[in-house]
Amino acid sequence: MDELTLLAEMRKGMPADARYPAAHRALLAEIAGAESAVPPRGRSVRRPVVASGLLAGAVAAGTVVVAVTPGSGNDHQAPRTVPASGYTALAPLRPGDVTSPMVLARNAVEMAQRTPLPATTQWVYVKTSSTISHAPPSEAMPQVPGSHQIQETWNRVDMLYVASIQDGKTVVTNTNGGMGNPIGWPRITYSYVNSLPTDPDALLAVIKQNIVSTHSYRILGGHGGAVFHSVLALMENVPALSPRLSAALYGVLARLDTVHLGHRTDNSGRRVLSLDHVEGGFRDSILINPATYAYAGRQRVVVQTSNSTALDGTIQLREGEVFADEAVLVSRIVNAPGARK
Amino acid sequence: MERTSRQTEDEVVAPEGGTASDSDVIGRSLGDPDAFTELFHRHSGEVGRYVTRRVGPGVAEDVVAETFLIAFRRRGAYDGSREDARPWLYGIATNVMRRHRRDEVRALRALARTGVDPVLVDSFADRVAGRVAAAEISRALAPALARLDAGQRDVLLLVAWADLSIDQVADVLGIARGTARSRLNRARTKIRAAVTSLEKRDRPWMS
Repeated sequence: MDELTLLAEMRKGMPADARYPAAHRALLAEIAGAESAVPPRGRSVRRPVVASGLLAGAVAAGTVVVAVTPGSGNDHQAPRTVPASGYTALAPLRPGDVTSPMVLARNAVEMAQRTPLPATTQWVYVKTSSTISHAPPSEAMPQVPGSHQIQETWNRVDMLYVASIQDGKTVVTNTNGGMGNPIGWPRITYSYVNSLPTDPDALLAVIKQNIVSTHSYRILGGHGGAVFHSVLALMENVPALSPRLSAALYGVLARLDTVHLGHRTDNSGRRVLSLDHVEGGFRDSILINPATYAYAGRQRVVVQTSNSTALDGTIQLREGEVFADEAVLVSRIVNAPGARK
Repeated sequence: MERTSRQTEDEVVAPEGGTASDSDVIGRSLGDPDAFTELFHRHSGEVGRYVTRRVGPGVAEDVVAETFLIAFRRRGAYDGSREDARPWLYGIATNVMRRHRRDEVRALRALARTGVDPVLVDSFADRVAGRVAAAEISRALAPALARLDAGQRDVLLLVAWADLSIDQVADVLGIARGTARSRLNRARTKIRAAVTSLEKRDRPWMS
């Protein structure tokens, strides 16, 4: 049996008669729009599609606010509930006071209580820097030391739209109500996220339930690891989380025996706090801005040299190798997609 | 032929009485957008199967939705000489899935590590005859698939799981035929090495 035939065997578990009712509805809505409206020239306005994962991999985290040039515009069209400085408007707590994950979580709660909530029609502008690998798949191979790839995204607070710059133009995409399914979570919508408990114990129970109901324990690994990676998946892919929920997620992690406080340097050379989890020879870190307690990125580093048991025999993990290093350079509330202040 | 919304569930019939080709359907949809739903009914299942196998059921519906929306918006540029629209749809789906490469690689690595295929939900698994053997094959091939260059993986899986010819793959990915062949050959070589390793492990007397 040749390799193509063997590969075809992997497809046997997939039914070809599955129905996709939501996809069908999205298409009908698009068709209805095409029949009843003249599309505006030069703008992509109406895209009633599910855009899950539009942000997957595109949003890291971060915390180093750097100077950026203002966007082109339309700021006057949006409410100004939160000024351009967004979550970073208030005086920071003292990072030196952080001595444990629990203290970090408590400080984050305090910071969140002092932070005004943005309007649902405002946007979270995120600029990230991530390393790359010359040996694809990039996200599963050692990264090139010192490499940087910059990405910018805009995510409306109500999660109904995302935007990015394409060919110099701001392209807005309708998410059809949600931000997809980060591993370990059901479909992420604004209403769902805001229905999550902000009590860490209650939130931990929800996360465990989600991991089981989405079968994600198969991907996420052991029990403590599953919770850690589930939290990471949400923070990595949904930048419009409220500071209060982020603080509760830190509280969840603080309740795990396998999670420890760390102090790391992100790929822009800035010192950040981290919540670390070690499993399978890797240390995964959720980076946290020591001034604002906002999610600041992630790192994945080999901490134990080992040989992989992969059948091609070529996977070798060497201590110190970096498999992921993403930093949020800017995370800021703005009034319009394309705006940077 | 006038069409109503009720007719969108029905098969489009060619004027001479046979079933209309995909290119006919697409052509008709330029004046009658409702007709495009016929393309969805014909091919969403197959495209969905390919997508599910690659990125799992959790995001499959989103990818299928976006694939057909993109196809609908681009239908005016469709080459009417190509009667079968499946390669076109697979190509769009492959491009959409590029946003989910991380999920795909994670799932493959999880499969390699645990032997449990995360893209197979229970209801699917129940339908699979000889699933144990299939799972063993999947587990053996997963690490090699995960380590493929993304471009090589796209070509290989469009051939193996979408049943496209190498020329069709080159067309839908917008790459030269020689490039497509080269990627396929390289990918097959790596997969073959994994298969050989499996055979040596299971039948050491062969070596």
